[in-house]
Amino acid sequence: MKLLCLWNLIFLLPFISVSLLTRWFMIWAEAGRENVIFGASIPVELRWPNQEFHRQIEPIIRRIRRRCWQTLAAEAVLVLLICLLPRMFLAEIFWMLLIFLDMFLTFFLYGCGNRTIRRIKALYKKEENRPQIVYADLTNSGRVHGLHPLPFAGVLLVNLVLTVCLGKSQPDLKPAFWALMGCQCLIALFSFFMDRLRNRVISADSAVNANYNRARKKVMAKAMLELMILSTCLPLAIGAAYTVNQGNLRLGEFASIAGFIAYFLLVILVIALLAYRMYQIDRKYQGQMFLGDDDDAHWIWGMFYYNPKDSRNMVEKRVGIGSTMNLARPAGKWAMAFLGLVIVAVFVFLGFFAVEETLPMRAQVQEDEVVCRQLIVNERIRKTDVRDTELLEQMPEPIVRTNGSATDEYLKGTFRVGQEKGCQLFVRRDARVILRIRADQKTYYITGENDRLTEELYRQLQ
Amino acid sequence: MILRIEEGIDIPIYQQIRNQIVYGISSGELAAGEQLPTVRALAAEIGVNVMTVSKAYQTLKAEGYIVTERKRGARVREKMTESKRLSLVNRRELERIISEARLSGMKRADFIQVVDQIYAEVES
Repeated sequence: MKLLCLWNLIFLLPFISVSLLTRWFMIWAEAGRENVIFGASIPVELRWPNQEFHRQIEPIIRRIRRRCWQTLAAEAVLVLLICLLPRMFLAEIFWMLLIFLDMFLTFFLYGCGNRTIRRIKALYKKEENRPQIVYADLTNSGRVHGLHPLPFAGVLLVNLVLTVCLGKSQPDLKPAFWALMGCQCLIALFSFFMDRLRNRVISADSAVNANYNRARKKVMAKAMLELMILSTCLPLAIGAAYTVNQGNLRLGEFASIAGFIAYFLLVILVIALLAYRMYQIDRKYQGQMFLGDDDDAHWIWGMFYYNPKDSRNMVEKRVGIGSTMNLARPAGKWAMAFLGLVIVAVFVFLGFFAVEETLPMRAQVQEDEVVCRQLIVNERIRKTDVRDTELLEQMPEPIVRTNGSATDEYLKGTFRVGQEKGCQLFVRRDARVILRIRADQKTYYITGENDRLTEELYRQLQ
Repeated sequence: MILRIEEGIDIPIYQQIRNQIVYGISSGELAAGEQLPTVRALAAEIGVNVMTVSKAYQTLKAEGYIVTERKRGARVREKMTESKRLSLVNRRELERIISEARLSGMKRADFIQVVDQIYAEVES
């Protein structure tokens, strides 16, 4: 029960923060913009102080905001219901479904706002099917940057030193430390990539464009650096949690979960600050933005760009930070296909997870082997390798997972049991008898479909 | 200076880049000796292939509007060669424009007035 509560907490805090941040960005911040509202571009002649147009769209904005609150309230009820679920695997499945539902509702509200604004806009000005126009600032091409390489190099160096030192002191965690180092390098590469993106053209004045783009790139570089600095603490935290775990399992588990939640919330804070700073910059330059064509026809629901006549692979997003793909281009189509595959894979995994939790574990003697089978797990132990068997009434403590799964129902995979590392577990949590087999320099803990079958397996091996 | 590239029209993109740079030099938006962006940088800004921008720069160089040096890149020529004549291509283009203006019923004086207007805009 305690584990289930902790598990729900791991999902709950990030879910709330990401959900609120996304809704703020897509629903609340939209109302404060002049040139684009819910992904629909507002021509100069319809912007404030055109009161007639704004009188028509203000009720729409209020309605979308109200619906946003209503969907949030409905999701809060769903969250409470999920927290009451008795089984962890059910909670995991419903958390994933809730995340998808939340994303869908946010996009749906945004899309509704977009369609309605465009419909009202069409009363004043028809959407024209004009040739695609691309603006490029010749003066600023390749010259506007916000990133200084030195701080990034410094952080990477510190990370490298930490990784090497911690890897030597805790060799078990070496792969994890080097994986984190790899992530830091990816963040640095991503930062350089973002700094070298094409500049947005918002004005006919190159100086305005330069200042605007420099401000945005500086803010992005600052956020990436903050993220890297935050992530520098991760290897230290993981090392500390692991050390605590060796001494006191419960404290170690608590430290790991608390650390994970704290890190995630800090990352969300960095992203929220980035979004807020970008929003401030856009507001500051709002009055000077008048370039750009009314190409709403190419924006599906104001979020997805589809324009076969545009040769660019990436275009500036209408909502959010950064760029989005032109879905009419081959690269965009591949990206969508990949995203579709990922979404399908998530649902397949959820289904697999549900099936795995409900399928019984089978451990039996077949010819000269002990075979442990459940879905894709197929562990085999040769009878000739068995040195010793023992029937236990409970598992030795502590049980620490190294590589495997520990769910409501089962413990499967490689664990540290007591002081012994590398034990293979194939155990039902509710088993009253557990068979321990020492074979081939490994220790196995096995249970059958029920206690009677476990005892029978023990007798067969005797 | 802002380049405005229209896709899907009859004028190739390299030609549009070339035309607008010439316009920029003429109107003073691009000063004599001013550094132009690299081919790669401009191609990334517009979102086209580097060969497209390279062709535009080569055309401008052949026509004497820009100079390109290995280490310094492309720059607007310090002093334009003043031939004080229309090129053959431009003359033919002007003939086409005048023909269409005549067919639309435009009088000579009106046409010259439009020419004066545009010339003044470019000069200013």
